[in-house]
Amino acid sequence: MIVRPTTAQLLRDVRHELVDTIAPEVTSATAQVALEQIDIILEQCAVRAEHELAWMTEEIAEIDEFVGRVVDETGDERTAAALQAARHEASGSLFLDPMCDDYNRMSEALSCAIEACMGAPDRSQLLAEAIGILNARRSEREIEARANWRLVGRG
Amino acid sequence: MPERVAAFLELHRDDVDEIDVVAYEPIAGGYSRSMATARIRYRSGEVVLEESVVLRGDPPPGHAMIETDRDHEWMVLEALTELGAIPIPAARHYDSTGDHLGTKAIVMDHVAGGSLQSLLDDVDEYGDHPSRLAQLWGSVHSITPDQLPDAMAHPTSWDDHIDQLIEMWRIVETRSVNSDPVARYIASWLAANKPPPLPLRLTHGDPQAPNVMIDPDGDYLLVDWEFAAIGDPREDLGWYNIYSSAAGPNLYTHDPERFLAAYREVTGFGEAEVNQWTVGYFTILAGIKIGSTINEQLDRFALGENSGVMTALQVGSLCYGHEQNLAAIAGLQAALDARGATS
Repeated sequence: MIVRPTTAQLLRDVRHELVDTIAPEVTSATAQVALEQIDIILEQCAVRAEHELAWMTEEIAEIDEFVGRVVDETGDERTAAALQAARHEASGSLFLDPMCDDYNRMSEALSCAIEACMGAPDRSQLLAEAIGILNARRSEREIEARANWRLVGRG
Repeated sequence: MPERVAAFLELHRDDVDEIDVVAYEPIAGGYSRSMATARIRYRSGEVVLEESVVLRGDPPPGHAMIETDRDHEWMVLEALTELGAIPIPAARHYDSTGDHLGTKAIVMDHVAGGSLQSLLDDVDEYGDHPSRLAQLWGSVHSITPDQLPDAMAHPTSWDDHIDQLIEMWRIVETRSVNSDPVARYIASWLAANKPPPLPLRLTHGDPQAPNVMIDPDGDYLLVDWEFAAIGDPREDLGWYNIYSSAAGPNLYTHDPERFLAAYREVTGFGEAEVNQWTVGYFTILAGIKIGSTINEQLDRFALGENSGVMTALQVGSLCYGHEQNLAAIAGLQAALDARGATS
């Protein structure tokens, strides 16, 4: 398999072609807006192509470890069941679709852990740790993945 | 399409001899509906008149970024026209079956002056627009449920309504193809920190500067009523805040206390209920109303039932919502903790 240029490089080249060659020829306002939106989506695809498998792999491992501690410290049954399901049904595959399923199941375990810790003063440290995962893993990576996103053409 | 528009208008105008559509142009940037302007020429004997109208219809099946109900929107427009309390462009006609215009579509007056968004994009000083916008939202929120059609959903109580909105965060997440711990955290936090209630009122549902038109006299006209509902008025303040943070300028954050003072003066609501903390709470809560339909369409996209660049772009909207909501909860919780520490 020819791996270089990478998928991200190819997508960014298409972006440049659209912006430099196609866009100047387009006069319709609706088509101009659509082109600008396509440009954003192509850049988002480039970022995801570069990172999403690694990001999901890292996050699955991190949530697994954290939720395991929540189960140990709280004994919460829903969280334990969700974690067990995530571990038991994990494909461990690096193909995108089964990895998305693995990621979703582990995310459900994190949701259960958050709900188990919400409003319980003795679990506030665990809740803070969960929020830290949401910020550092979900939010900050989503900021990177949404790239040059903006609400194009509103007005 | 121009011929169909002319034929449809002829059904409603037996006082003219001839109707021609002399220009027809799609409007760029409509995120939810397909919109176009049409220049209409009427001839009656020797008299010839021209005017412009706006057509607002559903996009082709499988290409909607947001699904809303044109029957509902028309019902709201008819009710508001009858009330006459909120400035809106006159709604003229409705093709309720789509048989005439190819899709269910509303024909309304064209506003020549452009949108508040366009105006704000071109100026550095906002003048009295922040206060005028607060007053506009306040005028919407002065409409009580008993003034609205029975066919609109009337919540049984404030608590039930708010609980349902919070539950929507969970339901949308549970149904989605994506498992989303951020949504579940938001729902849990909202349920644990409900604000003091307000009387339920008419809410616009999508208050934002692009939905405020300015006529040639400089007066505001509020459009796009597809999300109108009976709810907590602060839902609109919250949605305005998050939308305008994504696509500014945000006239609320420009000077929040002044904005809220102008709003409270129109509505008569108190500072205990309408303040920066409660607006922050509803900035998070209200996001699910439009967020749910965006989520649903993205799910359909993932399942191969929907498509379109506009819908694909909304992955970014959800990511933006995550970032903003997490930051908002952190700020609101810090304020609560500080209050707790001093009490």
